[in-house]
Amino acid sequence: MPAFGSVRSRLLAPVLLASVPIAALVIYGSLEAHSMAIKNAERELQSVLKLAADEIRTTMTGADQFLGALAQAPSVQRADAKSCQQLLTTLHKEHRAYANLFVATPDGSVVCSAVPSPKPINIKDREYFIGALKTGKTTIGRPNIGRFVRRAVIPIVHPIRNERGQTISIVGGAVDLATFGNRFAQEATNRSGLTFTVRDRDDTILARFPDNDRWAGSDHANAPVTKAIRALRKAGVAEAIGVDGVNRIHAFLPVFEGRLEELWLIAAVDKAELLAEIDAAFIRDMLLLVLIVTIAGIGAWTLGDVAIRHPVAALLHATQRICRRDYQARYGGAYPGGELGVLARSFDEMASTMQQHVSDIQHAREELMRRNRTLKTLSECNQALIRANTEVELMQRICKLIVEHGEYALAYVCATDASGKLQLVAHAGFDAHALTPDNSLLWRSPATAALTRREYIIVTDPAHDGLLRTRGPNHRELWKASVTLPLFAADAVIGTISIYSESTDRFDGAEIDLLAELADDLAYGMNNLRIRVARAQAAEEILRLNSELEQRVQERTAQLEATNRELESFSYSVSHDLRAPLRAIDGFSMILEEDYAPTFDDEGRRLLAVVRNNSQKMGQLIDDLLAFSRLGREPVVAVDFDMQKLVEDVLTELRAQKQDHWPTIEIEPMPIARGDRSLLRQVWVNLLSNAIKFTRATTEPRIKIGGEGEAHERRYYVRDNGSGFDMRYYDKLFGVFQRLHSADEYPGTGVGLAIVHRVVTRHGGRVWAESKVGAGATFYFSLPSGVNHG
Amino acid sequence: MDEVDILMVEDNSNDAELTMRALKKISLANRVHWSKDGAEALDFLFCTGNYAHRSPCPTPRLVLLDIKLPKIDGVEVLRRIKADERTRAMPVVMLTSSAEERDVMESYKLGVNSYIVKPVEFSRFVQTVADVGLYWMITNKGPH
Repeated sequence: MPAFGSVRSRLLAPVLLASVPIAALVIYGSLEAHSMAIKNAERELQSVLKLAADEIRTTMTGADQFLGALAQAPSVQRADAKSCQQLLTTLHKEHRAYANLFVATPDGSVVCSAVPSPKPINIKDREYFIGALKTGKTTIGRPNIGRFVRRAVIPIVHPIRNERGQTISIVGGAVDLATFGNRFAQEATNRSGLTFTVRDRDDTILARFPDNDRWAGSDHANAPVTKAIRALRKAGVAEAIGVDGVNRIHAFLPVFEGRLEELWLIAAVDKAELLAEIDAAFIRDMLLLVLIVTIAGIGAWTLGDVAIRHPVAALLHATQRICRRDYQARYGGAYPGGELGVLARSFDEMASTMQQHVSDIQHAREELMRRNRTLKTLSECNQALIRANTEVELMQRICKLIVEHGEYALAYVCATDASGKLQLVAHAGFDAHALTPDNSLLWRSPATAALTRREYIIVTDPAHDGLLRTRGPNHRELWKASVTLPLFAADAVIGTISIYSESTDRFDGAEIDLLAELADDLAYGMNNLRIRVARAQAAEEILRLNSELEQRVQERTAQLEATNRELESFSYSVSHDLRAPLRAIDGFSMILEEDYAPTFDDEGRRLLAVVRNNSQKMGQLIDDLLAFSRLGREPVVAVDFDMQKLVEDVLTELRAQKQDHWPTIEIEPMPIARGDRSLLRQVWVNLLSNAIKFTRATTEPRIKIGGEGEAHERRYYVRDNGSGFDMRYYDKLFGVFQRLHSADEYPGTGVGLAIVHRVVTRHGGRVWAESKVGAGATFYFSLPSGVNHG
Repeated sequence: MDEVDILMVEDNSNDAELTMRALKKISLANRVHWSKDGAEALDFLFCTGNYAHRSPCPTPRLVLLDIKLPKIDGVEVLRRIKADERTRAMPVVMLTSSAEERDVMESYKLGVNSYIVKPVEFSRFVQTVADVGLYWMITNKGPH
């Protein structure tokens, strides 16, 4: 799967990455080896050259000695051609180091030479010859390719001088460079690819090994190696392309530097050859590396596949299953080692936990739904409670709701009748299960048990439910558990409700609580309905009584009104009819007095006066009585009015009636009164009349009238300085017809104060008085400030 | 029949006598007609019944009317007097023992010109009648 490619690639990456330093290392190593090899080669070459140089020097020194020795030979000294030839030839065979041996006369002609030449050679023009002749010492000539030996030689001549110092002959040799070089090269090293070159100072190759023949004598002034040497002009090393075009490591060393016989020794190894092994090793190593990397890569790939991709794939698969809500998914298989194993284990644990949780949630949800159903049922039942009009209707509805909303199999309600016996009143679910109820079997149902035990009964074995047991064999599949709850109203059980469920686990604690609530509500509802019925009856009764009462009230009112009317007409007659005869009595007795005055004596007149007095008194009495009785009937109309003005009005009226001996009146300001003006007028009339009456005998009669207002009442007073009354008889002061003075002293019927008392009391106020006999009296009365009642 | 100045409607003969006496004192007695009950008073005023012969039918200058009367009571008489065009303008004075508020109000509502309560005391009674007669006959300008 493409997704896993990256996992494997990730595994490869370290492998590849690891190979990089290794490769670098290898490369570095190779490079190191390269340089090391080169250095070694250089060192070797240089030492080889040194050896060669030493040997050449040694050889030259040896040659010098040899020639010196040879110079002793008489043949040589005489320059005898024949004898020296032989000698030379012999020596030449023995001493292969010399390409030639010769003797020459001082004029330069070569008399004998080991290597015969076709024609006579003269060497007088040679530098070395000239030099030798001059110096008389052994002289080494310039290395060259011998003309007739055809190979690189270093000429060396040894002049032989006689006693006189004349050069008699010269013996010389040509040191064989080529052979030397060849031998040397072969001896010194046994490495292939080594070239050994001897050059003269003008960069002409004197000898070269291998392929001497090819190269000897050639001039390679422009070869890169030549240039390199020339650049240095001393011993050294250089990498350059050799004369044959092959890139070599050269080491060069001058011998006899600065002299005529200067030689340049060059030893070189083919760089490629030199490094070939290293390069080969490098390639080998690199190939090995590649191989290893490849193997490792494959291994990683495979490992990744096995150790990582596979477990990861398994985990992924399991995870996806879980995403699809298949909580049974697990890693599957053995756990790999290490972190993946831990991961797989943790995954399995997590999956198990998740499965458990999901299962728990599922259970919780189911329970919630169950609870919801029951709560909904409860709610619906409560609504039914509100709406039901009769008990039976209520119970029917409740049963129906329990079965429909609560998703129970059966529900039924029993109620106790008057004698306390249970009756099946309402049920639901019976029709669905083809059950018919039978009251006579109730005693076998759990309802009876609940009734007697006064607590809820749970039945989980259909065999223990007497009521439904006999309904047929298939009822056992109908329900698995039931609960019966008693219905309480106050402390009495008024019935039971039974609920049957098709599953065994519905009646847990919380469900029973809810159903108990339902039972309580049902009981409450039933009770309420009963109360409502009773109340309706009571209401009817009340209405009936009310109408009776109203009737009676009406009758009474009519009676009272009749009585009132009687009283009124009575008062009316009294006021009218009684007065007429009185008037007649008084009038006719007056006529009698006027018309028949002369015939009367004093006694007669006195008697008449008595008659008249009494009739007048009777009239006053009647007026007072009428006024008094009227007070009891008339309603008190309370208004605010100016009390002071009323007092002044009353005084004016009284004054009009009685001009003489009018007392001094002082009126203090008094508050506004709240009451019935005409009734209160009567009060003032009576009080002020009294005050005037009882100050009649006083020399300076004085009356003070005033009042004061408080928050809740207003008080008024009348103070006189008249004769006063005895406080001992205070109780009688306001009684009807009660008099504290005799009629002779002060006329009056004794009703006046009673009237005052009645009026003020009807206003809701109080009347009281203070007095001292002979020092006057003060009468007070108060009127409430607020609303007064009639 | 003579011109009648005052019609006195009173069922109580004592009261009538006393009233007459009082009116005599101020020389008004000779032109007083006394009706003993309401019906007779109305007959007299409207010249009906026993008084049908009276023609033309002059109205008295003052009516002294008691309330408690047999047959037709004073309030009714007052009503009829005040209801009739011919007699409406005529001054009517209730002269009665009744001080009942109800009677007073009723009478004033019907348009009585004056309401006098008969005092019990004779001298006062005489004075009152005299005052009344004097006022209505002399002092007051009648509608005639």
